[in-house]
Amino acid sequence: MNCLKCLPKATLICFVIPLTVPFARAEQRSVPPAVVTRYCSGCHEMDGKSQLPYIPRLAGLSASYSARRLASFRAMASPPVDEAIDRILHIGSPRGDAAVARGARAHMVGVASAISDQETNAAAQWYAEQPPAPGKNRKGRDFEGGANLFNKGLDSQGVHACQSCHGSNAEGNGRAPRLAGQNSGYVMEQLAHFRAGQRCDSPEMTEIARNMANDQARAIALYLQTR
Amino acid sequence: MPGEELPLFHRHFLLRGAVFFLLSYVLPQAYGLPSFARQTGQKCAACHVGGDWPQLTPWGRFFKLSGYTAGKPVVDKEGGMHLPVGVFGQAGLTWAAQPNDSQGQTVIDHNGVPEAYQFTGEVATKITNFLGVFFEYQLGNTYPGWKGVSGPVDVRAVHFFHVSGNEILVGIDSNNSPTVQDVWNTVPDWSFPFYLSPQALSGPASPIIANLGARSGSIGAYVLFNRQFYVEASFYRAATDFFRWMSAGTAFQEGSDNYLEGYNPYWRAYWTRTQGPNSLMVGTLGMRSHVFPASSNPTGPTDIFTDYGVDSQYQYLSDAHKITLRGSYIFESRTLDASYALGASATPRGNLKSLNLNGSYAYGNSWVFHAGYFLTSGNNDSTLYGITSPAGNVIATSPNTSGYTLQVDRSITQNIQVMAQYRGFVRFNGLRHNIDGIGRNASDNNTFWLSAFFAF
Repeated sequence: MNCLKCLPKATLICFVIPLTVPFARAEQRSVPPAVVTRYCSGCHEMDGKSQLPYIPRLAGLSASYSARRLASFRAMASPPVDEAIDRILHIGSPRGDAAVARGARAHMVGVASAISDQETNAAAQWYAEQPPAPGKNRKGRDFEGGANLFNKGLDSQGVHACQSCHGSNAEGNGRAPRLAGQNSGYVMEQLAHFRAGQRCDSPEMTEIARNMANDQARAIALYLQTR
Repeated sequence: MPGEELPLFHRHFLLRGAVFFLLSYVLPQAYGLPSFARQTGQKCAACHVGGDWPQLTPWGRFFKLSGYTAGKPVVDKEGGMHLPVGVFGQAGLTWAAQPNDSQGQTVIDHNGVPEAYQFTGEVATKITNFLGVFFEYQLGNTYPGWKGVSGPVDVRAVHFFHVSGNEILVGIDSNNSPTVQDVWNTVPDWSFPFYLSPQALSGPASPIIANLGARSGSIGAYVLFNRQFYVEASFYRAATDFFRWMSAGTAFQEGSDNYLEGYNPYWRAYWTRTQGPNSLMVGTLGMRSHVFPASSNPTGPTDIFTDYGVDSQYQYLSDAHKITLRGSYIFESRTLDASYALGASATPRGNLKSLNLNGSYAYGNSWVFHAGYFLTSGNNDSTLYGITSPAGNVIATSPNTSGYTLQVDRSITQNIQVMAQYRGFVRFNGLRHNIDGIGRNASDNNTFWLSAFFAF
């Protein structure tokens, strides 16, 4: 009986509010695949325009690149849940795949291994079809340096021009990923992973990253974010 | 005993701190539910800020709201299998500023003695693509004695709707404690301090919404609109009959547990927005509870508690640095006619207010630093909060208690976390000094706690 007295108030408070909310995202019309709704969007957002600086923006990334990247995650060893026991069992042994799993996006290794090939392709296709995020309109002091490195490279240092593979507008292609508008924190982290040997899917990038100084990697990342 | 010389290790704060830092470095980093880590294949740090349980990341919040359904089922299509279970243990030492009163009576038991605090088993898993469950059973050191009791229980069924480009997540939830289903670390069940030593003292009162764990069972529904607006309505009843499994170990017949009459409404709503690495949440919650004065005799008139709360969280997340600021305020209106008639309360009407302000900074997935302030206040009641001195004088009738908590967590591996916590009291039962009538100060209840957590 007690609850019945409060039921109208509770219903009013809890369920009328959303009806007053304007349907603010009316531009995104199609229905995403379930794997995107339940899994990918938790970090990458439904439209692939992640807000968090260390999570990559997937909107407009070519489907074949995304699928290939997911496959490379799947090929890595999942981070052990019982890490303490794992360390005891492997005392003295080289870190190998575990180093990759710990240092890189350890949660992506798990995600990639938990979803099917069909889901992988559906997610990659969904994000490829999303309109790319516009570049952030912020030009810091490193902007010109980043632009120069992107367009011309620095041959004397063994740093090739990024645009030679990633496209003159950093739009990417099936082989090299789109970088325009990418979160700078993510780009810097990937360059660091290439340099440390924790990302091994592109020998060219490993070499370039190793030839690049930290401030140059930062300048390129900040420049790409504005594209 | 008064004047007794304490051992060197007990006396020196620096020495205790040194042991903590030594442990942090000598032992080979984060902690979460092992069974969910097995299900999703992710590290604890994917769902918990800096790997520090129970603080949730945006993905951790979404994982919970979507019914724990991401990841692999117990047996996947390829025939692979994972165990949806985990075990936890916690042990450590607690030191009080003054473990005994001025007459030598023990106030805080087992001061400075290594103690085991809890062993917990969990079953937590996705059952189907729309159904998930999280269940814990805890064997806890309750001083005196060990007691087995249901821990957090949360069962969810969810479905996503897409309407005109909008996402609407609709869920049905059943749990055993108001706010245990919540995804923010501002509500009572998940708020800072996330752990307290069972040996440490707490103030004399807290809102009813924080005192129904493992005593209540619920059924409710929630809607998450475009991951921005959330509304929930649930109804809680005594965890008896069908809900008894959610209150295993709770002895209602002993009389001192909160026994709800009928179905009691709980509501929750919040708005959240993320902009770059910054996110903000502003919310409200509340509950109206009818509680029998004695759980051993759940008949007759009831006391009525109505809780109204507001809460907010700001979070900054980058890969290396993560900052979270949290605040909550709960006002509880109390109509204690039933207790008053039985002499269990000195006033038929009252109120209780609870304020919590705290923040955390996580460096990578290894070190987390916390600081928090708490304040509980309310009307005087000589029966509920009365303190009588040995000479027979009533020296306090107030629930007003305030203080602070400072804490450092170090994740050694995913399975091991060590923690150092200092909890200080500014006021206890409304008093700063002479809180027991024989010279004890509020600050004498301060405690320093070192503990280690194991999860496998």
